[in-house]
Amino acid sequence: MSKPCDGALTLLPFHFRKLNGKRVLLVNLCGEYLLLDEGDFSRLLKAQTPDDLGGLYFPLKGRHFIADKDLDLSVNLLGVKMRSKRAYMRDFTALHMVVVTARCSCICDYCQASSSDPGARNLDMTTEVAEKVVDVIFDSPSPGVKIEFQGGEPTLNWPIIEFIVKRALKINRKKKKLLDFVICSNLMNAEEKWAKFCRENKISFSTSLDGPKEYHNLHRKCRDGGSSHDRFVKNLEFYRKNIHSRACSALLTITRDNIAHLHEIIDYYLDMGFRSIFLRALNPYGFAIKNRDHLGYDAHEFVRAYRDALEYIIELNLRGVYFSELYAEFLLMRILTPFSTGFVDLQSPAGAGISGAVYDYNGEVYPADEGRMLARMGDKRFLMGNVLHNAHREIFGGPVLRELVRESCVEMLPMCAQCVYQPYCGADPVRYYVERGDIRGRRPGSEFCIKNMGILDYLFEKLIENDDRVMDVFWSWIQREGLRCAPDEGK
Amino acid sequence: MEITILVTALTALTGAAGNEASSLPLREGQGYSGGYSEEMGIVEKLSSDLYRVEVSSLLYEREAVFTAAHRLNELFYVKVEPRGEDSFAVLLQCREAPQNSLDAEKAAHELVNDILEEQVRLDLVKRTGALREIIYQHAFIPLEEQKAAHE
Repeated sequence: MSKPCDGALTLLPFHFRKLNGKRVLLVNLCGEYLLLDEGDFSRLLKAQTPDDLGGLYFPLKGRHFIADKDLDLSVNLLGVKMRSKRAYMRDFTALHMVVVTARCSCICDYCQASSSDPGARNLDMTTEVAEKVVDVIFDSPSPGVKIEFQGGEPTLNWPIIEFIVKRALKINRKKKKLLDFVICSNLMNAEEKWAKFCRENKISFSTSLDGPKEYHNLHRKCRDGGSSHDRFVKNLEFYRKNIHSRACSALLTITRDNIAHLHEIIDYYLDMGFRSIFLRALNPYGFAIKNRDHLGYDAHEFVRAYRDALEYIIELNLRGVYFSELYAEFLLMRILTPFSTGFVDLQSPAGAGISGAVYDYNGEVYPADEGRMLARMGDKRFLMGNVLHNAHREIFGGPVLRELVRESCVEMLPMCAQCVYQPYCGADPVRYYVERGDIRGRRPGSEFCIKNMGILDYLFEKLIENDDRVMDVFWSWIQREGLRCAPDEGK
Repeated sequence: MEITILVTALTALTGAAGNEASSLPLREGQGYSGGYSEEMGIVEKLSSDLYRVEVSSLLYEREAVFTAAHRLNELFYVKVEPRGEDSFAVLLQCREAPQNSLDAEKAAHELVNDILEEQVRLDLVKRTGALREIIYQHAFIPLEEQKAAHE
């Protein structure tokens, strides 16, 4: 191995955190990380020349924690890496959530959108509004556009879904954006013509499954009193058969009733043919706030349950069963790869508005679904404009979004500014506002912070252990393909 | 009054920073995991739910004290005040009657270590802050301008 360069040593910017066992985790601006023991950390801080670092020189230099003669090159490289990691900002709003109706066939205990009765047709989006929504969406500079139909239950206003898809496809013949459609549905309804339309236009479904029948029916309730689980299973099968075997992905909402049964629920997801799960904590909006006393749990309890569930999922993968947890998968991609990983709920500045936006049935535009839910609760703090009266520039260049961007950079938020996980994390100003009445939020005691810190702590424990078999599992999630052979086989 | 002198594995921040940004010279043998100095901090238990943490303002900056104390405001009512010419006092009153007084005491003791870590961070920012600005500028400058700058 060659010798370190002679000359002065320059520290490059990084964050650090002391871990148990007298070790210190270092993370640089681009998310590259290194673990040092306390003695070596002290040595790094005191080092004046490369020789002072001995064997630490190459790992520190290779991961851009120090520079010597080539300072310009190191700074340029870090700039380029950061530019790549933040590419999502360059594209601007790519995710457009369109609430085609606020009506819903279900009345779930934790409904974030405070959905309304199926008879309330005045809560449907009209053709006039839908036309303007599509026009505003295609004014977005983003080269990729995903239109996500939401509700209520969007399929209750199917004609508007068809209208928007057809209009978007027509406009896109000229605009030539990467266009994608998703319907967020409770799967209580299914029709042949819908399946045909989805198949022809490559539309997929995103749905919710709370586990076996006893858990699913507990809080996901049909307004007509029927079993939501039975209909879900029947229609899931129908859509898989008539659209595509992977036409539906599902997420789990964790409540006090199922938090202790996550292994059983994961097994059920596997039985139902899913290859992934999104372990989602209860959000403080809509009916979930009203019912918090009997649905909710402590953020620390969520982290314990999450860790335990992830251990189980890793174990399944080691036995040769490909199955991933989507939040961990996303965070690992952010930690282990140089790629841009935009995620509306965990970005800096916040993804609200600049990565995703919500168009309510009446044409009002909000930076995030939570802003719309807040409006439903009577607070229009985050209303950015209305497609009927405002152009794209007015909606997305207005004071609401400018304030959100200005106040949601983790680099300047108290506690986040010093946090070692800063390059992997983000801000959620709408949530902070709901929790504390202030878009900057307050990290001590914040559920958002406890949850994300807890999950990142767990992932870093695993990364630091560096067990080849577990790392293979993590990489298989990032690459979205199963292990070629089960690591435990043949042992 | 119970007075506990904090014994910590960490050492004075001057050693941790170890460069010209520090206001005091580095003593032999000090480092992030090196020796221990009584100047680092004193924790006093004033009553069953009230603690006072005192640290030297010659060693620590106000920002380091504020940042570390801020983290405790969910557990405690926190008051930071100057004490004499060369100290900061942080008064910590438990928000709720402590179920386990050891937890509250531990949190008060941890504060001294946290202040030290925050000071190390501040010193790092002094050393690397200018580069950080350049890297951010480089990352966010429009490509056309970047290209023009290289030509």
